[in-house]
Amino acid sequence: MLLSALKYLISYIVLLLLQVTVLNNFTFLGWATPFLYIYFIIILPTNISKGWLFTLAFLLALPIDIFSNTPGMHTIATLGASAFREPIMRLYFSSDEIDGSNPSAISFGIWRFMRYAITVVLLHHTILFIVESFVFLNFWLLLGKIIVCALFTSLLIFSVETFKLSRR
Amino acid sequence: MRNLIQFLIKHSYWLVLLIYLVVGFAMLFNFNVYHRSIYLSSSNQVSGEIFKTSSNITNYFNLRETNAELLTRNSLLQKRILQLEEQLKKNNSGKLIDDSSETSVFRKYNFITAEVISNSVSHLQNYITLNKGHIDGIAPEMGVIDQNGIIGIVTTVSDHFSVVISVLNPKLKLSAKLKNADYFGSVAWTGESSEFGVLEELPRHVKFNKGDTLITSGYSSVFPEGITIGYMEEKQDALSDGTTPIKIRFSTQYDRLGFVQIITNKFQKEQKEIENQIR
Repeated sequence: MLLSALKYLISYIVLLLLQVTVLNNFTFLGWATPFLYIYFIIILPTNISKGWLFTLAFLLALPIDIFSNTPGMHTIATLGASAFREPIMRLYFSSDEIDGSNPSAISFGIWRFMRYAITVVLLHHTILFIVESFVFLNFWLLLGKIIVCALFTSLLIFSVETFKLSRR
Repeated sequence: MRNLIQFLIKHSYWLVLLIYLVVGFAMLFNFNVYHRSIYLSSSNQVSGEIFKTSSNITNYFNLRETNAELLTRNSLLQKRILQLEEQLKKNNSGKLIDDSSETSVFRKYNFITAEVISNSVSHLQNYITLNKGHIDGIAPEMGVIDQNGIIGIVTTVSDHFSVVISVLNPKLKLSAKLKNADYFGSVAWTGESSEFGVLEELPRHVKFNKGDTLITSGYSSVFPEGITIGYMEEKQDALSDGTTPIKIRFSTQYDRLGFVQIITNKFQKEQKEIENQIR
C-alpha cells in the first residue's frame, strides 16, 4: 500500500516536471504539443475514491497551469476527464476487472488498455482546446489540434506502457 | 435536514469536484488579475528556478545556431559602422553626432540582456519567461527583442524573473510600418502557425512586394522605430468590414529563442502620463 503510494508520488513528480520542462517546449508543426501528464490520471487505481481522484487531478493540473501561464485551462480539462474516467472504464472493462486493479497494459492487455487511455486523452484534449478557444474559434484548427495532440499523447503513453511490459 | 446532510455526505465527491471546477473557472475568467499575480504565473520563484535549471541544460543544444546568427548580425553591424563612418567622412563634419541632447535616441533607450528560460508557441496565448526581474531593472511594459527582431512586451515582474507576452498572442497588437514607405498598420497573430502573422489596417492603395520588410513604427513608447517585425507575404481574402489583411512572415523564429534584449525607455513613464492626460 505504502509502496504503491510512493510509486504514484514519484510518477506525479516525474510527469509534472517532464511536462513543464520538456514536453511544453516540444512543438511539432509549430503547434502540436503532447500532454503526457494526463497519464497520471489514467493509471490511478480503479477503486480510488472519487474525492481523492478529483483532489489529485486538481493538484496535478494547477501547477501545470501556473507553469505554462494558462489560467485554469488544464485544471478544467483534467477535472473533466477524471469525472468521466469511471464511465469510460465501464464502457471497456467488466465490473470485476474494474474492482481493485491498477489500469495498465499488464492488467488489461495493451490494446484494451490503449482504447481506454485514448478515450480519456481525447476527452481531456477536447475540453482543453475548447476552453482555450473561448478567445477565438477556428473550427478546423481546433479539430486538427485535438486530433494531432491526442495522437502524440497516446503515442507517448503507448511507448511508456510497452516499455513497462518489456521490463516485466 | 438530516436527509440533506446524508445526501451531501454520500455525494460529497461531486461537491469536491464542483469546488475545484469553480477555482478553475475563476482563474479562467479573472485572467487579467490572475496573470498580474506573480505567484500564479510562471514568474514565481519555484517555477523560475526549475525553468532556469532546465534551460541551463537545453540551451547547449541551440548554441551552434545562436552563434551563427550572432556572427551574421555582427558582420551586418560591422558593415553598417563602416558605411556610417564613410558617410561621416563625406560630410566632413569630423565630429560625432551630438548625443548629449536629452531626447537623443542614444540616451533614451538602454538594453538589458536576459535569457529565455521558458517559452511556448503552441497555445493560443503564448508567454515567455525570462531569467531577469525587478532587481535587474525590468518593469512591466518594456519591449523585448532579439537579434532577429521583435519578441514581445513584459507583463509581470517578480524579483528575479519576468513574464513576457509574446507576439504569438492575440492580446498583443504592434504598430508597424513598411520600411521603404511611410505607411502604417498593425500586426497581430492569428493563432495558426508560429511563423506567420497578419498586418491589418494598411491603406488599401498601398502597393508592396513580397519580401518587403516591416518594422516597428516607433509610435508607442515601448519600441523604438526600426526594429524588424517580419516580411510581407501576400494579400488575404477581404473581411466583412471591407479591409484586407496581409499575411506576413515573422523575422524571429519563436520556437527557438535563446538570449533576448529588454529595451528600457527613459521617457516611457513621462510619455504614458501625458498620453493618459488627454483620455
